[in-house]
Amino acid sequence: MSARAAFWAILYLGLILLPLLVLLLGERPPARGFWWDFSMGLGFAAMAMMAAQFALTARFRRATFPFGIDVLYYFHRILAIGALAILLGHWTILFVGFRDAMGPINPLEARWEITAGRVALGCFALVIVTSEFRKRLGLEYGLWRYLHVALAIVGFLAAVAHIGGVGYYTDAPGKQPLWLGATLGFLGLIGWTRIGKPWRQLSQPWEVVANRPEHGGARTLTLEPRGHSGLGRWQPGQFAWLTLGSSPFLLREHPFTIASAPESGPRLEFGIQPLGDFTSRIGEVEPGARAFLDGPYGVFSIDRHPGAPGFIFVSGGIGVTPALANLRSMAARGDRRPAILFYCNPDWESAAYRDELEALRDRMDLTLVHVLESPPRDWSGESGLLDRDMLKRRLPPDFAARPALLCGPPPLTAAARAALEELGVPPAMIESELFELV
Amino acid sequence: MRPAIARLVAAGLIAAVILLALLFAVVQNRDAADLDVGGVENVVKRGAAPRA
Repeated sequence: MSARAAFWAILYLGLILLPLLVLLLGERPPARGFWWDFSMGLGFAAMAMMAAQFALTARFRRATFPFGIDVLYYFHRILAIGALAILLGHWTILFVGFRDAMGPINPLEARWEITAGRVALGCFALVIVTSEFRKRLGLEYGLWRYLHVALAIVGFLAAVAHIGGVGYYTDAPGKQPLWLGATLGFLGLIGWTRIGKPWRQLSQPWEVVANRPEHGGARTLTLEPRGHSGLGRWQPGQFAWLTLGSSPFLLREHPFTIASAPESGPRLEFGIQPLGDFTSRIGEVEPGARAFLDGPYGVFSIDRHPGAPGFIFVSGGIGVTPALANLRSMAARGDRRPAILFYCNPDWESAAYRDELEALRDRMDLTLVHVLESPPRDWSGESGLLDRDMLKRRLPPDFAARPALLCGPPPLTAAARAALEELGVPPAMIESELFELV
Repeated sequence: MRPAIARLVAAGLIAAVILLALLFAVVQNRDAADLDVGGVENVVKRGAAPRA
């Protein structure tokens, strides 16, 4: 782990552990028995973890850079489940051992602060259920995002009200400012993410200037900055959250890889496959449409490996766009380091950007290996699913010294990672992008 | 960072948080246990000769 990564990890750990440490240090109220106090400790811990979730998704570029924002979102997901489990521990101990103290369930008869706690628990449980089972519940992604933000904010405020209302552990004079500061700090984070950032985007609009079809039904959306200089500096293979429409406040943003190379100027291209709720209508986007971008993010870049002797790319379907961006950049820079791309698709027609990849071979040292699940009759290339033997057969002798960049459906990246590790590529040399988290 | 490492870090963090909650309960009740030993008489004794 780099020093920067360690710094952000320790800061995050401190953020979560601080409330509990403050409870432990300083003036403490009289004890109420081990299980009661353990339950309270769990409640505070869960609250701190839930609140810190806002920090993980606030998209502070400096903090995300050492890890990759996709991994941070993955982390956000696991920690949310952990925090809910801890919160349920808090509730279960009280329910089993101190049911009388919880009072009636009916909100009209119950103490308001206990009802607030129940609302918080319900909201956080719903956040997890709607996120883990979004597709099975048939929740449209845009609606899910509204629901997610609303439930998280209501749950957080209800939890703050619950803790403040009960007050037993936080009423000590030294602890009140801490809780007030922490609450305002997290509200500030929500404000920054949902209001501050979109506000900044509003003054930096983009315009769709082209929307062209590619093989396999994919589309390339081309955007130009309007009234500003563009995205600034970014690395090939990074991505941005794209909002199409009149306002960046509407939570209708979606992450897409910037398929163009930074060397090609401020005009950006996004390769999009119509697979989901939002992307299925991407073909209808007309030139002239307004757009907003939040980015760049991501670590899927050759620029993170300046000393590498060459690169291995494994892409599946539209997951080829980050590899394409890196290859385009290598060609534009005159980078002659060898690169090999395993491009996996269900069939030949699905291989978007195959013509451009073929053309790139003339401008750089690129070996292109198409892998088709259902190849045409006269196909002489690789067929079936990518596996260890196929990689061994096709990889060059120096492969173990090359960084491997994987992007595609999770089963493909998992299989490629396992096979590459088995063949001797050090795990630290393998990068992958995680998509479809919800 | 690999997803497996992210899972490991998250598991470590969750374990640390639960341990701290446990520590909170133990420390909180250890003080109470001190007071309980000897009952009121002991508290009175301590009041007479406070610990340094």
